[in-house]
Amino acid sequence: MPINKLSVLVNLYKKEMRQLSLDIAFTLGAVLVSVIIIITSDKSPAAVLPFIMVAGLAGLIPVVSSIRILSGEWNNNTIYLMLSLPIKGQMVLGAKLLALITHYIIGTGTVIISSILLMFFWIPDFTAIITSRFGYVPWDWFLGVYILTVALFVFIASLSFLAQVLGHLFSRFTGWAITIIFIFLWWLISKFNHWMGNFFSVWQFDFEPAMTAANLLSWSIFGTLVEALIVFAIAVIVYNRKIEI
Amino acid sequence: MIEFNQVVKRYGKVTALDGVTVTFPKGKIIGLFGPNGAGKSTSLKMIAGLSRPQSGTVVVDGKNPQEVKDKIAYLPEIDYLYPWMTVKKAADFVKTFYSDWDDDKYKELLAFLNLGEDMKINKISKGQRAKVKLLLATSRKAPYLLLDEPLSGIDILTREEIINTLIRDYREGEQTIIISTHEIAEVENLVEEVIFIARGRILLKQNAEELRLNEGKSLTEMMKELFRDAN
Amino acid sequence: MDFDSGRPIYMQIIEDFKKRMIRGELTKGDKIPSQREYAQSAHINPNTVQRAYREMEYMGLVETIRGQGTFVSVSDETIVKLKKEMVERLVVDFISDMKELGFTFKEIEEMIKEMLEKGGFFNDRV
Repeated sequence: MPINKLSVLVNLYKKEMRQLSLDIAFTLGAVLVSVIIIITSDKSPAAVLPFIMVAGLAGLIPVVSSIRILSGEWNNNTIYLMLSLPIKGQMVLGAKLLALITHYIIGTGTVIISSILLMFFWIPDFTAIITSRFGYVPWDWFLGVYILTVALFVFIASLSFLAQVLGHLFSRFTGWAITIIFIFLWWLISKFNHWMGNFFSVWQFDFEPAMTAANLLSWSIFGTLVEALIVFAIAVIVYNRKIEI
Repeated sequence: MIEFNQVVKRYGKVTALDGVTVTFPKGKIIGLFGPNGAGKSTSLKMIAGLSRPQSGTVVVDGKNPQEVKDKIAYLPEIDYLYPWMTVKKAADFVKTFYSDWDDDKYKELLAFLNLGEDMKINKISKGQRAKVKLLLATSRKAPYLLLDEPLSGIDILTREEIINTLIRDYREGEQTIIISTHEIAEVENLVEEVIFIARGRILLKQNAEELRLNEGKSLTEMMKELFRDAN
Repeated sequence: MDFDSGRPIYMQIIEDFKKRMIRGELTKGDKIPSQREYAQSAHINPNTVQRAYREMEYMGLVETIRGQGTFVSVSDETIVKLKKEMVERLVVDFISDMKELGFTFKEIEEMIKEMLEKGGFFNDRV
């Protein structure tokens, strides 16, 4: 039977999702607990605090998972299996990235859905409000901002991958190497972004505030994704050319 | 055919391979013998494309090992399977990557090795894990089978099962099996070609029967002698 | 059987079959294990077994019939020849060992006679 690249990717993706099942369960559990706290509380504003914290966690846990999912291969010696398979880094890291994006979307999606449901619980006439004002709600903005957070997450996950594959080139103090490399790359890219921002603002005149904002949002999404792609590609190259055991 | 040409590999200050030039002929069972730390594992890792030479070249069927990973079934000494997997999960995972996977052979070997598909990797004994590794490697019709210390730390009955499986499965002439071990006695009569390695250097490479005829010694005795001289 | 790892295995396989033929355990027409079976049961490289079988065929001890297996094809004359060969080798080895220990032919002859007359432990076995 000839090998189908898509089924290889699906196979790897399923494995990564299984690896992440604990992380996802933890995220969903945290959301559930905070929702229960709100429902059982006396509707005091303080009850929202844990929910906000969990909302942040839903975005942060996948970042932590990105370490578990990649460096975990070394810790469990399963890197021997991954490196012996006839697949390249794009497949290995691609499947991991897809799984992490799924993780991020499941976590943050659950937070968004439960916050909408909580609104009905919290504000008695929420249904009336939402139906009368539906046209005024900037849904496209919400969507745009959410996509930007996904893009940012993809960027951070890619950067985490790059820091890890570089860190694993050191046989000792790997953890420290990964941390230092991550911080250094982060600093380097922010410098670059700052410079890019200055450069573009010189000729990007647009006096209408709404248009400027829309441009800024779409450019941010685009720029973040491009940077994510470049960082991911470098991680793949390092994995393919340098990683060994 | 696998060719090493002046291969050097260092890990920090430790030299694993010190200018190794050797050829592994095709279609034979080859013993790669040497004490711990001789460079056996490193050699196998290079053939499997898990490690790269710092200088020199390793060539498998005329190609870079990185390009022919689908021709190689590699069985490392360590446990490299995901602990949460069952035997069936592991087989389903592995078979997606190889066009030479043979489901009938897998079923047959599963029964022959007394393994169950619902056995979980982290719940079974070391001997059983060794058999699962062997099952996954031999359920393929890979031209090259690399076994790194396949018998170390394994009970005597399981050793028998592993050796039986290898002989049963071996396709003379078309399959090359390389067995690396520091315990020769068990595979003494199984190997056709022997390569002795110590301190990252090849000490001797010869046909096992010729060696017995010329030296009148067993491979175990030969190894003792060679490594005494080498040290 | 146990092999002496210090001598070529294929030779020992042949010797083993020869002995069994001389003792009459294997006679003409008997089927012997397939190469794969033999290799598996004795934990030997299949190519080594193949070499032994090939040489035995060449010597006329066995013959392989396609699809049926390998059969003993040794003739009575060959058995006699094999016996003679083996006996000769044993005697030669024995005498040279004794010579090495410093015995003369005369002494060796007398010792054997004495042993046989006494009904020494050799006789118990025969």
